[in-house]
Amino acid sequence: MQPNFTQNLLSKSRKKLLFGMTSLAMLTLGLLLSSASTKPTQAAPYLGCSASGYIFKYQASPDTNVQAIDMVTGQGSNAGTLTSRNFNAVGYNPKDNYFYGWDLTGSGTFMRVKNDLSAPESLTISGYAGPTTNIFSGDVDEDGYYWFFTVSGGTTTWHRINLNTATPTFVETGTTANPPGAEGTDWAYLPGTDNLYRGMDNGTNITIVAFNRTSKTYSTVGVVSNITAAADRNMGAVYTDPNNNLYMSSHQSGKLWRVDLTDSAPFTALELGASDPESNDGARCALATVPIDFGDAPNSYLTLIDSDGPRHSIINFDLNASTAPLMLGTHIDTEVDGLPGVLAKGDDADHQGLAGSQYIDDERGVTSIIATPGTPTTLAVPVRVTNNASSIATLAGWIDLDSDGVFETGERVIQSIPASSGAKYYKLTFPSTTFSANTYARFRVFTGAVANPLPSGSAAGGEVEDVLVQVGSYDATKTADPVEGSQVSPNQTVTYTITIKNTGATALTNLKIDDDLTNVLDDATLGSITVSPSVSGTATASGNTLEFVGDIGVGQTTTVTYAVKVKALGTLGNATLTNSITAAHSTSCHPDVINNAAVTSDPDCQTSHPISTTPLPSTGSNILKSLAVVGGLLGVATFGLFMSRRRPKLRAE
Amino acid sequence: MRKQLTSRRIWLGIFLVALAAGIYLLLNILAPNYIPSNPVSAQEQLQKTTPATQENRLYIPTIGVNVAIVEGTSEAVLEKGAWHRQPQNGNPEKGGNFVLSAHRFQLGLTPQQTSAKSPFYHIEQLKAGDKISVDYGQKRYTYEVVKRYQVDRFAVHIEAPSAIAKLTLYSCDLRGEAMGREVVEAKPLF
Repeated sequence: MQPNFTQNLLSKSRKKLLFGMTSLAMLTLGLLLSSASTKPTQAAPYLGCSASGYIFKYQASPDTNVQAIDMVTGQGSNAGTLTSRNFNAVGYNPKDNYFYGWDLTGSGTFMRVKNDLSAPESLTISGYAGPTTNIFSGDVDEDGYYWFFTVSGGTTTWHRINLNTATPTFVETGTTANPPGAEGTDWAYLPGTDNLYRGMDNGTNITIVAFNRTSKTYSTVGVVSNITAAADRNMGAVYTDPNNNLYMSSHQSGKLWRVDLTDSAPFTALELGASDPESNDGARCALATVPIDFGDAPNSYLTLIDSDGPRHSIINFDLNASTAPLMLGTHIDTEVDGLPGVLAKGDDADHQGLAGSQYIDDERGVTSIIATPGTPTTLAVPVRVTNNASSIATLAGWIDLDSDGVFETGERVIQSIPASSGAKYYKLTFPSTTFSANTYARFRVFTGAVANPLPSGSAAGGEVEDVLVQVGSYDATKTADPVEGSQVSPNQTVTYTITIKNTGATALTNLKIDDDLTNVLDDATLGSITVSPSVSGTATASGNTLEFVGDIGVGQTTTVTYAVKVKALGTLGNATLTNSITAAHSTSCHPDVINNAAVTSDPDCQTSHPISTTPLPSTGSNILKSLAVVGGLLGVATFGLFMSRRRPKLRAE
Repeated sequence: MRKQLTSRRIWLGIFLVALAAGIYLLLNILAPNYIPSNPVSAQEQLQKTTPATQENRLYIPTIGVNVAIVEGTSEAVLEKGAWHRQPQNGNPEKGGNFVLSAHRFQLGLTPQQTSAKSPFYHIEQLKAGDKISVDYGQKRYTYEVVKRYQVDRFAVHIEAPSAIAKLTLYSCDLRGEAMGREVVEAKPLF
C-alpha cells in the first residue's frame, strides 16, 4: 500500500487537528527544526550523457523505433528510428557514448549506434564464437565491458565483451544457475556496486536479483511488493541511476517503476507513469543523475516522493548554469527527494551545482510572502517565470488560506505562460483572507496547458517552489552616496545601502529582497558587499541581481551595503546608473507587475545617477610643450653657432 | 671668401636671435616661480583691506594667490580669475560645496603676464593646515586645507553637492588638461 493512499484515508478534520498541533510546535521550534532537517545525499553530477532512458521497440518491424523516456514521469517521446535493425540487449557505454547491442535481424550481428541514433554500424567481436540470436539482455558497465546473457533451461550463460579495444574483443563466458522466477528480459548495471540487476516475475510480484561481476553468480536482493498485476511484471526494460535507483518497465503495460535500492526489503516501487506498451529493451547512461526538482514545504502538503510529492523532471537541464528552458525564477537545481521543513527553505539552501561553483539560491521565482496579521488581506504575489521553451506553460499557485495543512483547489490561482516568453513576472492574486498565523504556499510551472494542475505528483519539465507565508510587516529602503540624482563621473565609486527593518511583532525568516542591477552593471563593476549585522543574512550577486536573504528579528534593522565603480569613459553603457529594490509585501517596495515587469514606484526604493561624459573645464595649457619650444630654439641657436664658427675648406691645390 | 663671411654672419645672427628668444621664453615659462601672480601679495591685501570694500576674492598666502572670484558659463571667465563652478552647489554663505577652479599655467607675452594668468601654478604646494581666505558677499571667510589629490579630467563628482560645507579648488595638471586635475579640499573655520 502506498503512503499517499494511506494519507488519503485520513479525514480532513483529523488532518486539521494534526496540523494544529504541529503548527504550535512550528512556531516555537521553527529555526531549530529547520536546521535539523536531514538532506538526502545526491550523487555528483555527470555531464557526459543524457538523463533520459531509451526504449528500443521492434514491433514496427523491420525497423526499431526508439523512445526517450522521462525518468520522472515515465512518459516517452519519439527519439528516432533504426532502419532495418532489430536492436536488442542494448547497453549504453559512457566511455564512448554509443549504444551497443545485438541486431537480431536474420542470423544476428553485434552492432553499435551513436547516442543520437546516428551512424549505426555492425561489428565483429574478436574471438567470440557464441550465439548471435535470441539475445535479449545486455548492458555496459562503468569499465567499458558489455555483459549479455542467454538462458537455456535452468542455466544462464553470461558473456563479457571488452569495448575498450579497437574492435570489440571477447573476454570470457560462463554459466550460473538461473535465479528463481520467470525470465526478466533485461538487466542493468548499477555503477559502484559490481552488480547487474534484474526484476524477476515470481508469480505474485517482482523479485530483484543481482548478478555479481566478480563472483559471476546471482543473489536475491528483495521482493517488490506492490507490483502485482501480471501485465506489470514482465520487465523488458531496466535502467539504473547513480542514486541507487532501479527503474523497470513492463512489456505489456508500458508502466515504469522506480525502486530505491537503499531502502530495506521488501521494496515499495513508485509508479512513475507509462509509455506505449510494446515489446522492448531499455538502456540509459547509468552515470547520469536524473535531474528532478522537489518542493520543501512540510510533508502534510505531500512533499516527499513517497507521498507522491510534487516533482519535475528538469528537461534540458544546464548543470553549469543551473538553468532549464522552463523554470520558476532564473535558476533551478536538483534534489533526490523533497526536503520538507517548517521554514520551507530546504531547496533554497541545497544548490547542486558543479564542484566549486558559486552557491545559487534557485528558489527566487517567489521571494517572500508576508501577510499583515489580523486584517483581511488580499495577497498579490509576483512570480517570475522563465519560459524559453517553444510551448506554452501553466503557472499554478496555492496558498493554504485556511491553514489546514492541505493545498486545496479553492486556494489555487492559475496563469498561462506564453511560449518563448523569456523571464517575466506574473501576478497571482489570491482570495482575501485574514491571516493569524504562518502558513504555506506552493508554486508550480508545468509544460503545456494544464487545465487542472495539482499540488502533488510528477510533471515533465518545470519546477516547484514552496514558500513559508509569514505574518508580520517590514520595510525596505534604498539610498546612495552620492545622493540620488547626483551626477557621477567615470571611475567614481558609488555606494548603495539597502535598509531593512522589521516593523511587525514577529520575527521574519528567510526574507528575500532583490536589487536589480541590470542598469547599473552596464556602466559599473560591482565591488564588495557587506551585510550588517552579518549574522542576519547574506547578499550575493547572481547575474545582474543582488540577492539578499536573511532573518530579521522584531524591531531589528539590517543593512546591505555595496559599492560599484563606474567604468571608464568609452566603456559605458547608457551612462546612467538606475536601480531599484523589490521587497515583496514590504511597506514601501512591494512591486506591482506591469507589462510583466516587477515595478516599484516609491522613490525610497530606487536611485538614479547620470554619468557625466563631459570633462571638467580646461584650466591650463601644457607647460611641457612650451619647454619643448625653448629646447627647439636653443637647438637652432647651437646649430647657428656651429655654422658661424665653421672654417672654410682649403682648396687642395 | 666674401660669400663665406656673409654666411657666417647670417648664422651668427640666427644664433643670437634663437638664443635670445629661447632664454626669453624660458624666463617667461618660469615666471610663476619668481614673479607673484598679483603684484599685491595675498597677505598684504588681506591686511590692508576689509571685505566690505572688495569684490569676491580668493587669497591663498602660502602660494601667493590673490585673484578675483568670477562667475560665468564659459571657460573664458578663467582669464579673469577663479571661476565659481556650479554656484547652485554651494558658497561660503549657504554652505555646500563651494568650488573654485583657476588656470594652472597659461603662457603670456611677458613673464608678468604669464604669472598673472597662472594663479594656481603652485596648487601642488598646498598641504593640510594651510589657510585660505575668501571674500564673498562682503564677508571674509577662512578655510583650512584638509587634503589634496588628483582625479582624471572627467571627475565631475568633485563639483557634486555636499551635505557639509567645504571649499574645493582645482586646476589642471601641469602636463596639460588631458592629464587630469589637481584638487584641494578645505574645511571652513567659521
